Amino acid sequence: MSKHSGWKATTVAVSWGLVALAALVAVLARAESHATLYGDHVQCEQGQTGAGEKCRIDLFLTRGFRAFSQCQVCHGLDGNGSSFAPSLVETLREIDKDRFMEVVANGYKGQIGVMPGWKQNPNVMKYVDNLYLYLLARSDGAIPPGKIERYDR
Amino acid sequence: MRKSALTLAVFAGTIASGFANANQEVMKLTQDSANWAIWGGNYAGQRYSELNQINTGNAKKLQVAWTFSTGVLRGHEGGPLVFGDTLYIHTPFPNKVFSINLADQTINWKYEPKQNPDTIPVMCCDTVNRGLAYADGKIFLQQADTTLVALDSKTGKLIWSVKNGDPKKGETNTNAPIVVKDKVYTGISGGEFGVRGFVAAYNIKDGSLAWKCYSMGPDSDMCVDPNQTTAMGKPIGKDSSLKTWKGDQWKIGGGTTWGWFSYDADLNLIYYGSGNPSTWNPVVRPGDNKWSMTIMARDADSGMAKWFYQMTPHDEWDYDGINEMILADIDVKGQKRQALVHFDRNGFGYTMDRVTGELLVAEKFDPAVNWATHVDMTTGRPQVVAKYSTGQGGEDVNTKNICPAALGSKDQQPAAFSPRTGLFYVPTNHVCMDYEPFRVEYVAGQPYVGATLSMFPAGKVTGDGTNNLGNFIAWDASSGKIKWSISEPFSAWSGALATAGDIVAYGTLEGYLKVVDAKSGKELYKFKTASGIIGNVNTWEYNGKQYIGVLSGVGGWAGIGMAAGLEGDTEGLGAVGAYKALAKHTQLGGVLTVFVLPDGA
Repeated sequence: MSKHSGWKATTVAVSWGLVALAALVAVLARAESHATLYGDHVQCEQGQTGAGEKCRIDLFLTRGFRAFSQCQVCHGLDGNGSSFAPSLVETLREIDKDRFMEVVANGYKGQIGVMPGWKQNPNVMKYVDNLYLYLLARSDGAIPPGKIERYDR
Repeated sequence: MRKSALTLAVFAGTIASGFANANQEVMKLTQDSANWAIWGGNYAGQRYSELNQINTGNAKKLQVAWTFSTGVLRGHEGGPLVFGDTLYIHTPFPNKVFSINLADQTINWKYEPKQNPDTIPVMCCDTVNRGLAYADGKIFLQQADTTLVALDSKTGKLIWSVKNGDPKKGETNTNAPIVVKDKVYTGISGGEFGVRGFVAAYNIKDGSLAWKCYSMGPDSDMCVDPNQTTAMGKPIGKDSSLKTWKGDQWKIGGGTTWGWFSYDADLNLIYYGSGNPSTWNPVVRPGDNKWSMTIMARDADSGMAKWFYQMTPHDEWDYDGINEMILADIDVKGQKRQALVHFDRNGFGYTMDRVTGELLVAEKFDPAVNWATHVDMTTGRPQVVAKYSTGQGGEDVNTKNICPAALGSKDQQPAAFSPRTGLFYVPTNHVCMDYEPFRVEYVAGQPYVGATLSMFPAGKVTGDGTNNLGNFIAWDASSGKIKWSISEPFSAWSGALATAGDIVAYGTLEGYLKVVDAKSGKELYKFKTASGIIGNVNTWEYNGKQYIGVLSGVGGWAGIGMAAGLEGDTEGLGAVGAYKALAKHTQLGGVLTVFVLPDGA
């Protein structure tokens, strides 16, 4: 191997490392910025958001989970999708809050499924902010799927 | 069943009047084992065929004869109807129907209705359809948007159509209709939308409504005679339903009728079950909520109820009572009985006297079932275990480790009965749940659930170290005992077939068509079809050869419930262990796969 090509390989390796680092930083930054949105509603042991089962939530996010029961019927019990509706855990990584609110209220026609608009349904719309933050926390892995104990009762 | 076939033949022979022509025609078709002319193979819903060319000795040689893609992606339930040289197959929404020429598998005709896509999101659990009915030169299709249509069986041309409900109120349809004499019967879906269930009978001639009988409400709505209609051997009395609801909750009370219909020609009774009361929050609807969760026997001509049996009074778990009613004349505890056998969502296998509605046997067909200790044979009531009562637990309390889960120890996937072995072959779920009811507001046309759920393999509750989500079992309905059981990694969500070749066939969610020995459960053959199977396995004969056909096309509630909880052991499932997602085994797509023995086998 010539000196020249060795230098090049090192550069490539370093560049890839930088890309990976940048991606990691971006992910952390995203979770960090989200945490400011739902962080007040989650309490984790040792103050560690992201510790999964060790976290508990408050009434606000519990109401989000209840609203999510209307989503479970198509998007799966844990929101990871079904044979005809996409994973909400993944989708929340791809869309912003405005888009989320728009789709929840007015519905969506997908390639396989059709999602209803929920604007007439008080069980969803009264708690749509709760639902958004619940799903965002799920999407970030800050809380596990399923029922989570409350810390404020 | 031979005896039944014989009695049916005698019945058909003695009927002289003209009104029963269609009935006689279908009866005759179902008595010829070359055909599969009704969803259950016969009116008794036994899913049994006298064909024995494919048997325990040669089933291992089975091969794929031909396949047919429906071009539709979502969950494919039900199975083909076959008679003469034609096969009829249906699809989920948009509910296409194909008539296929068995000689060369060309398409004789195709019917594709134009339905409002707004129907799709009103369907609670995928856009499934469970199949067709035939009589009087007409193919009957119950479309998702509640339109019931009669098609010319030769041309596919629309003869008549009638609206059976209103999707704007959450009413949809998934069930297969059934024809008896000059009427076609259908039900309604929408228990998650506060729909009040009913069965409607339409005249096959022109689609005009003959009668409509609700599952709940005033006596006049339910087609009951307070003095003649019985439950547990006693007259149900006046206002039997109204007394069991708070105020006028019965108006949005559920009890929908999305399952299968069976018919006994001697008794002239149709049998079916009603679904869950809405909402899923039991706290807000005190009382038994009659007649949700009920086996119903009605006069086929008038709809008048002969007897009811409510399996799960005041449901707290979503254990719909709509699963198939299998009519079989069997020995029960040493006595010959005209029995009705039903494997309920609630995990109990019921053997009833289908003449009187007497409860003969009620035993758990999955040992994991824990919500009730047993059924009191005097009152017919399940003895609910307090710690698994979501109502006693109360609103906003998570009741844990209830078995079975809301999808039941068995859902709509119909079982089979072999008169040769005397056994019932039952595809089952082995899934438990946590369930937390909470208060919701009712808005017409909007889902009305009112509970959050988690589901997981039953092994997490029983602690027996298993992690399978289903079993395929052989059941003795006389003693209420499991004879043998095949463990399945996923729910067994396919309708079973039993034949005189002493084989039993069923499909799996990964997509395998499996053929097993009816006596032992030993696997004889398996083949991986194009997609997961939630359809029913049917059989027929054409040009001297026996065929077995099944729809694959994963989806339905199985595709929702089971996609969950299988993502891995990191997702709150604890000791359950590593699962492979169903998505790793199979993908969407409707395909009919037809099997046959090779020449000389």
